[in-house]
Amino acid sequence: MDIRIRKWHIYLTVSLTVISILTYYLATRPPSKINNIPPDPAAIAAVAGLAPIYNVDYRLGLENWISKVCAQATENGCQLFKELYAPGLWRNIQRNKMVLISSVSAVRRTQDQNINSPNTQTWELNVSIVDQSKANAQSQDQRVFAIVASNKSGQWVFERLLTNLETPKDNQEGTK
Amino acid sequence: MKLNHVPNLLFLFTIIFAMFPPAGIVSGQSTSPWNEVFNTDGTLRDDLTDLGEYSETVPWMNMEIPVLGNVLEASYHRYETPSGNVVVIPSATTLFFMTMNPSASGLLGSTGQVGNGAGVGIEAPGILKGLINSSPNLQEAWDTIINSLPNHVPPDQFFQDVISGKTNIFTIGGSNAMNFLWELLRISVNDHMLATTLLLYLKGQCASAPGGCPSIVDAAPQPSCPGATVKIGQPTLSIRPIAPEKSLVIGQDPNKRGADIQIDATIPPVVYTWYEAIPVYENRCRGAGSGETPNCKTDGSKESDDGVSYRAIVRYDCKKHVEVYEEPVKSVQAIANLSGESRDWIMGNLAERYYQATVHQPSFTLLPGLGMVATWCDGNKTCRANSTIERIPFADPGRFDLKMTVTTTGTPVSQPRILKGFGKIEVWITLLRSIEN
Repeated sequence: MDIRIRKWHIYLTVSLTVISILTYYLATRPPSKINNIPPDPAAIAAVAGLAPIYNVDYRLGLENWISKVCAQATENGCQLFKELYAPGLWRNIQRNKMVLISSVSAVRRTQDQNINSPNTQTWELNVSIVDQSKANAQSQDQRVFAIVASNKSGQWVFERLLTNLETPKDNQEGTK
Repeated sequence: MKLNHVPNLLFLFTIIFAMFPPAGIVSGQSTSPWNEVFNTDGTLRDDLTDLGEYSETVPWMNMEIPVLGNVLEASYHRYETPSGNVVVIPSATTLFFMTMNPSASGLLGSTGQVGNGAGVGIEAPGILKGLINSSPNLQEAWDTIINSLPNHVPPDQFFQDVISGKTNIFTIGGSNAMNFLWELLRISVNDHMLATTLLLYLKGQCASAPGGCPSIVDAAPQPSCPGATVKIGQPTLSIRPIAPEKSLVIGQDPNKRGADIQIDATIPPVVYTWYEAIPVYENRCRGAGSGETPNCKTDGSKESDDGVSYRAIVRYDCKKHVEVYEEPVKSVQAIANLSGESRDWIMGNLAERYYQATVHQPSFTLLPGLGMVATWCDGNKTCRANSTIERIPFADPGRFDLKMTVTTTGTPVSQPRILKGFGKIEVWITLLRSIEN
């Protein structure tokens, strides 16, 4: 039997093979940017601590919010959040009926607030926030600073957010 | 302000506080309005009207978290004296920020202050500014404190001197100072804040007081008439158990009876008194100008008209108006919390004797939730709220502290108020003891 292969058959086969390989590669390759979080345990702690603060629903109640934040915070940080931050912020959250959905990413480590303590680090983070309680809610990016502290076993844990009174003025002085 | 300085500030406060253990200090004017505030034994007078707790967001107390807003609110407890002066008792945090911003916060507008050591220390002028603006020099700060020490008076004489108008005095110890500290402690516990200082604002100065004037009308007097007054009623709040006589923990009660709690609030009307200046006119005659047609005589001896008549105000008569406004109750909240002592007793003494003893439900939100609240105003414009909460299933033995919070709507002439009342209920348990012969 005489099998005749024409040139265009070869072109078609090669083209389909290349397209298949390319499609498989694009579908299965790891994303070019995994995320913005540096593989730093302190940064991960900062992100973990900040996430429950900025994912808050006024309908779920203050206790619910505090318990989620405290689950990611040091004992001192939990106490500080519960006693100082939460009561005032919750008034605003309730007043504005906030339903915040946020994603947090670490940007970089900044000059530490307490340079005498080697057990703390200050991190600049980016929070993308959508307030779903608002009509036509749009995402807004916000720069936030957080302090993390290492506990006795050397693990980094979220301590607290910085207020506007403490925000580093020159954020170019990163130490990382 | 840098929060890095906070440890330094706290350190200095501690020094100052230690220098004035149970103490009182006052500065003010020579004619003392404090006689409307204190009894001679250091307690607050009974005829002060409780204006309740007041909180507000203020620009001089700005501590913000992005998107979520301001962390802090200024909070005060306020009283009004019979003559309309206002006593403001800020929380320690509020007082701290007032010191940082003495003008904007109204701290400088107060007529005087009485406080314990910590309060005075926080207010001491010059010291804190220096600390904040530069590195603290402890020796200089110490010298400033020593040089600014007021005059010591004997404890028994202190509040008599305050009432009689003496200024810049302090005392240490004594039962009168302790009475005063108990008053501060009572306010601190009731409002969940650390109260250290009483600030006094005279009636005409209340606009500069933190929280503003309790009466919100323009009280500027009309010509020749007395100024307007707003008399805010003294509220009565009560929260108390009514049945059964002795409540048993629900777990031991075969009938599962629970306890009943009665809540009552009475808010008397707000009385607004103002005076209307009514002009009294008189027809008079003045000399006619060129082009004017004379229609009266400027002098009775004149034979023909040479002047023009007009109406002149010769005086004002004051017509008194009294308006009575009801101050309705807007909301009532009530909670019951197991006291710390009872909690410790359960987890300690009781748990040692009974292996599984533990705290089951240490707190109850009574209102809103477990009962209905009736609110109304009667024909005398006295407003009331009451509620009977039945069969509350207290599961833990001991003392439960009861707290009610009433919010009023205010009136057209006065601000809304947040008022608090307190009570307690004891819940009993039967303990078995084996007796061996």
